[in-house]
Amino acid sequence: MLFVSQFIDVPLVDSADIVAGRLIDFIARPGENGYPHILGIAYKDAATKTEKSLSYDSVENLGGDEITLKTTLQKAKPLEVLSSDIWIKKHILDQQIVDLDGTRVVRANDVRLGISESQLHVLGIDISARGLIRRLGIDKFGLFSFMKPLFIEWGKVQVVGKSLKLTKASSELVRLHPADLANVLEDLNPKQSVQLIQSLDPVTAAKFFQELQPEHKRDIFKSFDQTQLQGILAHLPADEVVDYLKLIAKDDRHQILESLGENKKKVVEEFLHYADDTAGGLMTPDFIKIGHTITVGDAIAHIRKVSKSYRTILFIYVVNEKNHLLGVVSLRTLLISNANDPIEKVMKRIKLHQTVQPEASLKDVATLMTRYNLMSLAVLDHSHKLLGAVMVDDLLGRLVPQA
Amino acid sequence: MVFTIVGPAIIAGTANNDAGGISTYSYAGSRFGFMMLWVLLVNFITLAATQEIGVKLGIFTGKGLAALIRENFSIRWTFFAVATLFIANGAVTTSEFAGLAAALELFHISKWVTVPVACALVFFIIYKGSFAKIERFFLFISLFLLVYVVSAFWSHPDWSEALRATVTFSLPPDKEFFLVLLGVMGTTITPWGQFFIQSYVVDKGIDPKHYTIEKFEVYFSAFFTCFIAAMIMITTKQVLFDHGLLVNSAESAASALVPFLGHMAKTFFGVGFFAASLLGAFILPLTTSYCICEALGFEHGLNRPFHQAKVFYTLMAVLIALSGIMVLLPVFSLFQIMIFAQVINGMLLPVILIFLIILLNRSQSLGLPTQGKTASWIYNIITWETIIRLILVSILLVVFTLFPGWIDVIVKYWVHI
Repeated sequence: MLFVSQFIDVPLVDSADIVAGRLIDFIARPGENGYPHILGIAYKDAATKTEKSLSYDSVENLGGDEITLKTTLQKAKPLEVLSSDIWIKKHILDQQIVDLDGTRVVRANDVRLGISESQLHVLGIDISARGLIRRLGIDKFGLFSFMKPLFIEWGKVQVVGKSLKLTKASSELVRLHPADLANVLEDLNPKQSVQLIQSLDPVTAAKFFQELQPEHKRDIFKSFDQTQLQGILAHLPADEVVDYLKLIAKDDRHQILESLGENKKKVVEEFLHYADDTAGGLMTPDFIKIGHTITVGDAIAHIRKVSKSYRTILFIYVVNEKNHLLGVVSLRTLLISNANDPIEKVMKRIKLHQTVQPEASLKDVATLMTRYNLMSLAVLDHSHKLLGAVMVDDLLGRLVPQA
Repeated sequence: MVFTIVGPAIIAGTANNDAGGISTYSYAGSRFGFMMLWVLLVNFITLAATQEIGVKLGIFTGKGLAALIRENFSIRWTFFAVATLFIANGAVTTSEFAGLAAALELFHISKWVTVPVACALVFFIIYKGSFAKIERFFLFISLFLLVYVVSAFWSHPDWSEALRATVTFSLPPDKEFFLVLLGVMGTTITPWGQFFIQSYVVDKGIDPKHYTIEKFEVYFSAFFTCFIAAMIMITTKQVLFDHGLLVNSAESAASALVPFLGHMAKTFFGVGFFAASLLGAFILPLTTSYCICEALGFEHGLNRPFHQAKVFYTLMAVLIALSGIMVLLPVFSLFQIMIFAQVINGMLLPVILIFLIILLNRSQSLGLPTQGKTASWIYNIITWETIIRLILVSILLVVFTLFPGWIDVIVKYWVHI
């Protein structure tokens, strides 16, 4: 196995057996997929004592004692270094990285190289204690063979810190469950978390933002500029925006409210009035409601049309012209019913005592949802108009916040 | 506004004086009277400077000192720093458990009971995560040190003499003076304290725009730490030194409070001493394991269960166990352990300070705001002076201990100068 640590500071010898210098670093260029390949090496020139770089094509043999070049130093091919290139020792070694498999933040103790199709590639990162031993130069005589190296292959690595700008957010990162990523973010310091989220597209960023702890949300958003902020807020459901606004100072709220779309702004402003630990503070305006005169078929067609804008759809609420809640229909009912059945026939009528008003306590909400086996609880205002719905996962999140 | 700075500063200042500190200052006052007060003034300047550097690095890089060392020095230097920290902190942890034992011995409980129970209890509470809940309670009890302020005034010292001593450099060629000197320097400014203040500001996620406020909070707490230390020295000087009495145990240290507290002195001192030691017994293993795992890249954090952070918890357990064993070994008295731990701190502190000042001088590349030339000069002068002073005193101490004959040679030259 080839490791970067084995070659740092190793002398470079050209074809005339002259020592050209000592290896400082490997320079890699990220490929479109797979492993970055080593383009060249940086070395300290023995004659001028300055840093220079060579194309990897000039290297004949990579050895632990010396690295031989194919030609003399003068004839060796130089390297055009781009600012987007990754310098392994400078940017990756000893830096913090995110292990996307284990969803944790660790340090790169060593970097593993491999040859495939006669090209040298970065295979992965050694995060084990064995890697540390090797770096210390004491991994000799098989003393430490009981310690196994632990590799994370390059695809499962997300570099944070200095080099984050160089490697765009790994596709694996985007596929992480938001809660797992939130876990990872808690291990990073605020600066690194910001960089990480900024490297994501707005939709993914919004998805992850929702999983953060309140203090993190506030800290992270402080570092975003207006456009980035608006981009993420546009993809956040209204109730998340409300929760966020409650975290920040009143003076800053106005600016954010102005940046929202008209509809969203109205909803958010209204919802801001409710206290956190009441039904009003917990409810979401994001639920589907339909008129009572339509058929099952119409309802299904409507859901198909609007489903993308909603986070969770388990039930749809049926209201009359005055927005009074009449009943609720589950998706199951819609699936098994006849398309021509009027919705009023298949819906389950909701009685007043199965709803709450915005001032209801969390305990009342939980009691009702448990007693009537409800996944979502309708919240009515004082004139019995449908205001919002409390979703069971939001309730759980409030009851077990540290999860 | 003043209170939001001064409040936490007072608490940090008093909590900074742990059992080892109280013992060392008490001993210094009872053995040398006012002669060591100047050291406290120098300590104040150094403490304020080094803590400010720590706060600056922490706030602007968002990383702890251990992480910065790992990312800016070779892996061999990182290991060296880690080893140094482990030894120094190991000594301090041992001193905290020694303090616990000494405090309870005042109430006639044998150390053979206290130490094993304390070790198990400390690890268990840290592991269960209950430390956060009781931390506030102990911080509150550390305020007991304010009694030294009152008893210092109560003892009616000659304030002009004390103030003169604070600005008079005295360095008798006495081996014991050098030892205690190193101890006093090492107990105010500690390797663990340097890592701790930086981790503290990083964990709190303090905004760079609050840097100036933090700076003043640090100055105030440095002042209180040294102020309390001075009060301890003055009290013991008046009550003990002037009567030819020496502090060599918790009991004799407690007797310094007798004029002020009467027969309550022993109980009061015992409770306070116990609380200060217990607080340290929790904090030291925790911060040591945290920093070492941070430097070497192991998962750490109390929010992680054991199987996800094996090295973190094991390191703490090992440190606590080793300290417990060291306390129980019948080689040194409990009091001697506490003083020697501070001497070890003093000897190893230069290593950490050198890393610190090199990092500060690289501040541009770390992302810190540009520093004025004068500010840079001041930090460097203060830090390097401390480093050189500590190394010189350490060398002289070793020389004097190994070659006692040399003292006479140097005394002859000293007298001529």
